[in-house]
Amino acid sequence: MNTKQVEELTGISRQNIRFYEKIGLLHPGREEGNAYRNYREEDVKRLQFIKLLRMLDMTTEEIAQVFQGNVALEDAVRNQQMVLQQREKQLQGAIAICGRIVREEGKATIWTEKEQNFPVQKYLSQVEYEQNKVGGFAQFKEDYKKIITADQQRQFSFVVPHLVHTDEELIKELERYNQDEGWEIKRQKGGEVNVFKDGRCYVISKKKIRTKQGEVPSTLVMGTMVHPDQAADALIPVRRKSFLYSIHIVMRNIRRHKWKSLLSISVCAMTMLLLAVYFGMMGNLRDQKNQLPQVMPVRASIFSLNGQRSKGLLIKNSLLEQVRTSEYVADYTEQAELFGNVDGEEDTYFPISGVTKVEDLKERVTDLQTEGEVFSIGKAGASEDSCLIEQAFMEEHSLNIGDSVTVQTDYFASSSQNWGSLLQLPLLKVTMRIAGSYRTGELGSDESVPRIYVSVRQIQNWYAQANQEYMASSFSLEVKDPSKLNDFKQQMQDAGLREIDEAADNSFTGAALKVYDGNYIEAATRLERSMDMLQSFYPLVFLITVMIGGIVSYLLLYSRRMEASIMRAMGTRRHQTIVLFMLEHTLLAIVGCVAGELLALALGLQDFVWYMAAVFFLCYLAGALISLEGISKTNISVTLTGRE
Amino acid sequence: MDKMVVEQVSYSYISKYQTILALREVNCSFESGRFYAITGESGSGKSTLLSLLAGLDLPKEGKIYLNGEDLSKMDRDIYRRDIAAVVYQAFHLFPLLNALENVMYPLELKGMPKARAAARAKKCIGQVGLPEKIHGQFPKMMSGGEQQRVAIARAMAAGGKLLFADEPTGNLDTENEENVVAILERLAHEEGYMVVVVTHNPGIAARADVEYRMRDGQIVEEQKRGGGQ
Repeated sequence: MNTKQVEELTGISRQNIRFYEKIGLLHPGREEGNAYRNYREEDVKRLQFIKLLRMLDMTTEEIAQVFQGNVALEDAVRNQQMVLQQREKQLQGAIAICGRIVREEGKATIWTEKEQNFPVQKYLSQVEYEQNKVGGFAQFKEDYKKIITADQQRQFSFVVPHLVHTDEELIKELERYNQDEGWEIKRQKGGEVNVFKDGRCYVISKKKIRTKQGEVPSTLVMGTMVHPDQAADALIPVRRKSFLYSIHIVMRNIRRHKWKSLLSISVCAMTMLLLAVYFGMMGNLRDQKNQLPQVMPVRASIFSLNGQRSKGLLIKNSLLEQVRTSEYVADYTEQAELFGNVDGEEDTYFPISGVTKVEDLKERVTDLQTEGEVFSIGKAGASEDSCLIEQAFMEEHSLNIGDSVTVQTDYFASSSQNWGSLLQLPLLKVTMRIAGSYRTGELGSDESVPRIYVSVRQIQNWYAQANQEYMASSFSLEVKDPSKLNDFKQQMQDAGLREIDEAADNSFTGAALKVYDGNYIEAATRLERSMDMLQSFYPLVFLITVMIGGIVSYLLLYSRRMEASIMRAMGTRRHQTIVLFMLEHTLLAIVGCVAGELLALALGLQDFVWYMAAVFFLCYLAGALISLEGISKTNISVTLTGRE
Repeated sequence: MDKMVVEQVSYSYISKYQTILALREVNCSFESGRFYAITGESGSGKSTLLSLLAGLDLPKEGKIYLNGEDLSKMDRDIYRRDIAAVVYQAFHLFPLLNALENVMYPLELKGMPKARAAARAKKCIGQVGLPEKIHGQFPKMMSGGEQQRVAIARAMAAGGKLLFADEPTGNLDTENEENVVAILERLAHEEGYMVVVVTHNPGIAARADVEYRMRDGQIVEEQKRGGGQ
C-alpha cells in the first residue's frame, strides 16, 4: 500500500505518518526501483496501535519504550492511567474555580489595560487549595478547625476593671495583657493604636462597659483584625465556609429558641420514656411468666383410684417406668414399703422404707449419721446393699455402724379374694451393711415409722431377685414445663394413669394422678390476660408514637414558617433553609431520645426496643421534612404579606 | 445606573377555589436614584407588583428586565441576596437575633467573615440614625420605628441598590413615619438607590419622584414630580 491508501485506512495524516517514521516508530518498506514507500499490513496495524496509544495521550517517547521492549505495555498503560487521574483532579479543581469566579465575581469584575479589580490572589490561593486538598472527612475537620481558629484570630478582647481614658493607659493595659506573647504595640500618627501579633495587624478600640449602679465602671478593650481575609479560613472555599457557619447558626438558633428547643427535647424524651415503660411492662410480664415454673412449681402425686390414699399404695413398676422416663417430668420422689424381721424375732415385724435419695430423709429423721458410701439413686448396681438403721433398733440389737444386719423382707400384694385388703408375703432374705443411723422425729414408738431405710433401687433389685413385680408405695413428681401441662396429662393418661374417681372402690392400687396445678394455672392465666391486654394496646402505642413523632415535629417547624420565609426573601437558598432547620431539628431529636433513654435506665426500665425508638425518630424527621417541604413550597410574599 | 422594565406583566393566583387576576398587562419602569410610589386601593395589585419586582415570585405572563436581563432567567436567590432587598410593614426582623445580628445576616449569607460583616452592619445601622446601644437589643425590645430602621439597615447591608418597601410606615406613628420616609428619600436621592414604596398614604406618595396609581391590577396613572439624580 502507498501512503495515500494508508492515510485513508488509518485516518492518520501523511505528516504524522512521516513523523512516526522519522522518530523510528515505523519502518515501511520501499518499492523496488523507486523511492515510494510500500506499507505492509503489519505497518498498518502498527500505525493503528500508535494512534490508539496517542489517543490515550501517551507521548511518542513512551510508545517507543514499549515498542523497544524496555517497558511492558501493561505497565505503560497503568502509569498513563495514573497520570490521567492526576490530571483529572487538577481539571476538576480548575472547573470548580471557574464556576466560583462566574458566580461570585460575575459582571462586576473587570480586567482591562486601564483598570483591574479582579482579586487574583484570592483565586490563585483557591486553585492551589483545590489541587492540594486532602478530601473527605479529614478535609472537613481541617476546615472546621480553620474556621474556629479564624474566628479566634479575627478578634480578641479583654476587660480592664477600671476606666481607660488615654492611649497611654490603653497601651499600658495592652502590654500587661500581652504577657510575653511577643506583641508589637504601635501608636499610629492618626491616633490609632495597632497590635501586631502572629504576623497579623489588629486595630484596638475601647468601650466603656455599662454597669449597674454602685459597681465600678470597666473598659472592654477589643482588637479587630485589619485584614480578615488573611485569617486561617481565607483559603476555604465559600460554600464549605458557609456550611461550617451554618453549624454555628444552628447552635445559636437552638440556644435562642429556648422554649421550642426544650419542647422538642422534652417530646422526644417523654416518648422514649413512655415506650420504655410500655415495653418494660411487657418485658416484666414476660419474665414473670418465664419464671413462674421456678416460683410456682407444679407437682403431682399418684393416688388410689378413689383419691383416698397417696401412701401405702401398690403402684406397678411398668406404670412407673413410663413416668420416670417422661420428658415432662423434672424430678420425682419414689418410696417403697416392705416389712422385715430379724433372725430370732420372726414375729416382730418392722417397716423398711425405700427412698430415692438420702436427702429425702432429712425432713423425716433427726441426728442422721453416716459413714462411708450411703445409697443414692445414682448408685445403680451397687455390689453391697447398705442401709440406715434407727438408733433405737441398733441399740436393741447391739449393732453399730459398719456392722452387717440380715433381715427377712416381706412385700405386700392385693388379695385376689378381698380387693380392698393386702397380703403380706415373703420377698427375700437380705444382708446389708449399716451405713448410718438416725433417730425418728416421732414420739414414742409407731409401727408405721420405718426402722430401716434403704434405697428404692435396692428394693427393686430384691423384687427382681425374688421374681416379683416391683411395687412402689408412693410416687410424686415435679412437672418440668408447666406450660405443657396438657401434654403432660395426656402422656400420663396414655401411660395408664387416670383421674381420681371418688366413686371408685377403696383399694390399694395406685393408678390415679392428682396434679396440683390450680395455683399455677390461676397465676399463668392472670399473667396471660395482662399480657394480652397490654399487647392489644400495641397498635395504639405504635400509632401514638408515629403521630407524636410526625405531628409534633411538623407543627414545631411549621410555626417557624415566617422565619423561613424571611430567610428565603433575603436570598437564602431553599436547600440551605431546609438543611439548617433539619440539622437543628435532628440534633434536638437525638438529644431528646438519648435523654429519654438515660432517664428510663435511671428509673430501672431496662427494656429498650431499638426498632420502636427508630420508628419514632424516623417519624419525627419525616414530620420535619414534610413541614419544611410545605414551607418551602409556600409563596414567600403570601406568607410575608399575611395573604395566607 | 440600574433600570428595571416591567413589560406586559400579568399575575394570577388561586384563593378560596377561585382564580384572582392580581395584575393585568402592567407596563412600567424604574431607575436608580429615584423614589417611586405605587399607590392604590386594597386589592389593586400593588403588593403583588412589588413582590414580582423583588424577585419573590415570577409573573405568569410578561417579563421583568433588570438592565436588559430577564429576571426569570436570573438566579433569584442571588438576586434577592445581592441586588434587591425588601422592607415590610411588619418589619420581619428575626425575633431571636439582635439588631446587629439581623443586619449581619445577609452578609454572613454571602460568606463574609464575621468581623467584617459586623463592621459593615454597624456602619449601616449608624447610617439609619440608630445609636450603638441598639446593637445588642432584640426586636421585642425596640420600638416600631427602630425596628423598621434596622430592617432598612439590613436591606442596605446586603450591598444591592434596589430597595423595595411594602407599606413601610403602616405600623408607625407620624414621627417615625417621617424618619423612615426621610431615610428612603436620602437613599434614593443621595445614595443612588432605586427605591420603590407601596403605600396608600397620600403624603408619602406626594414625596415620590414618580407615582404609579393602580386599580384592578392595572396602572391607571403615572405621575412624575421630578427630583432624583
